[in-house]
Amino acid sequence: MQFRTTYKLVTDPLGSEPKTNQEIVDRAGDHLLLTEIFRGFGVTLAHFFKEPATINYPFEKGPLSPRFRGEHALRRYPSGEERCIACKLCEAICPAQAITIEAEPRADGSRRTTRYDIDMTKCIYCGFCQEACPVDAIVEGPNFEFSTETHEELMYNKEKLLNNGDKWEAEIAASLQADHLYR
Amino acid sequence: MAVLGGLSIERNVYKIRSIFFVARKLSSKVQTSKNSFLYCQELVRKHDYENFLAALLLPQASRQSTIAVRAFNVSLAQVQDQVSQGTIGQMRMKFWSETLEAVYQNTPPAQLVALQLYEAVQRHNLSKRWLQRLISSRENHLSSKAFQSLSKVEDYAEHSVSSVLYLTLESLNIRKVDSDHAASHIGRAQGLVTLLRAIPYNSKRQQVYVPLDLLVQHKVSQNDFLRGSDDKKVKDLIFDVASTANAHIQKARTIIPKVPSEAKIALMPLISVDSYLDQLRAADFNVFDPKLSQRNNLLPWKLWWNKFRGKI
Repeated sequence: MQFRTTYKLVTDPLGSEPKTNQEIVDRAGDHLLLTEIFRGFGVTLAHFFKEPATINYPFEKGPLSPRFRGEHALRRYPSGEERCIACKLCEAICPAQAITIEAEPRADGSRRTTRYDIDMTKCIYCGFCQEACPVDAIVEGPNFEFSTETHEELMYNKEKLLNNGDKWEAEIAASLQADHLYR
Repeated sequence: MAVLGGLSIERNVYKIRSIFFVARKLSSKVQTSKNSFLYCQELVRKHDYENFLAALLLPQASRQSTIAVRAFNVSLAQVQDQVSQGTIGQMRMKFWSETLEAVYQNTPPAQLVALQLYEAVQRHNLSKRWLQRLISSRENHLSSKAFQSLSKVEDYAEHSVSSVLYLTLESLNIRKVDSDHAASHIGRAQGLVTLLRAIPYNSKRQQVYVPLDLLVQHKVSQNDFLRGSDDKKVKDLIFDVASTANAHIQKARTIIPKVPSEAKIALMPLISVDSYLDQLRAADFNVFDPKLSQRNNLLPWKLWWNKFRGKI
């Protein structure tokens, strides 16, 4: 057994402790019953008047950057014609190879996609598809609430993507807007 | 007999139907052309407002072609802001150069700007050279964004802005040396002014495109622009660029009397450039003055008045 003898106590081991019974009761009364409890109430009351830090989520939503990259959508022209002309640049640039396109000419001679699939479980939301699209057809819209119960539901086809575009067009167009030609 | 009668009725019905079909196909073609024009017009109005105003003063046919060219220009100019990596920008430029090839081989893709451009090329036999220069200048700018010197900026402006003015002149069926010479100077002035106007916007995005030789000459750092400084040195630099633009305008004004009167209307962008330079002078060459970023509501009247007087 080793005994240390060269150390020095920097606090008085008994100094701050209540010594008499009277002191013990006073201290317990102070801490447990009166001041601490009212101070606690005070904090609660202050928060009652403060703006809450949380939002009522499904009904209220936090702000989103216009550059937010969420669920994909295929846009249409104001005339209703779909924008995509099947150039396949998005398919080529996609680092996760989540996009599959098949195309053939339509009756009026224009080249269109017959199949436009995105595997949303492969997608890494890098936004390269929308950067590469020369006609602004494929975009990553502001929607982030598209969770599903099955894997199959996240295999998006052209119809689903066009519907997304119709649903979110106003928001997408607003976030794409820039006021002046700076170049 | 009854059977034969039925057959002839059927044949007639078929004939009528086919007529309807052709008519509908024609009308859908007209409709597409109209839609694509409206789309291009909206694109230019939104992103290139001052040149849109200038284009409105042109005669009908030439206006339609000019709007198409301007929309094409807007699509190209926006690429560098829409991509995060040079290679993606190059892909888009490749698309546009292939589109241009297709337009000249009478097989434009079903993209509204390309369709309008095709119509414009058919209508006014626009030179492919100028359109190609629009693409190549933007493509070069993608890979080397910083300008080494003021003359590099002028070259860029000559390629990317003057080309549009040459095409506007072509859409008026004017192919004269003098008008092209004036357009070249106006394009350069416009390019320099665009560089100045973009400074506050680019500073917000942590970018500075002011030519490096001027920075060195005036001992200004790029940080001064990022901070939006209105230091004397910065103002002197801005003054240098503005006076170069002004020199081009003065030069253009000496050539304009030699230009045929119907060509003058294609050179209207000069008015908007000049009015910006006036505003800049009033703001004591501080590009960050908030007044300069406001839209000039007198500009439409100014343009119209100048057209009315037949003077620039």
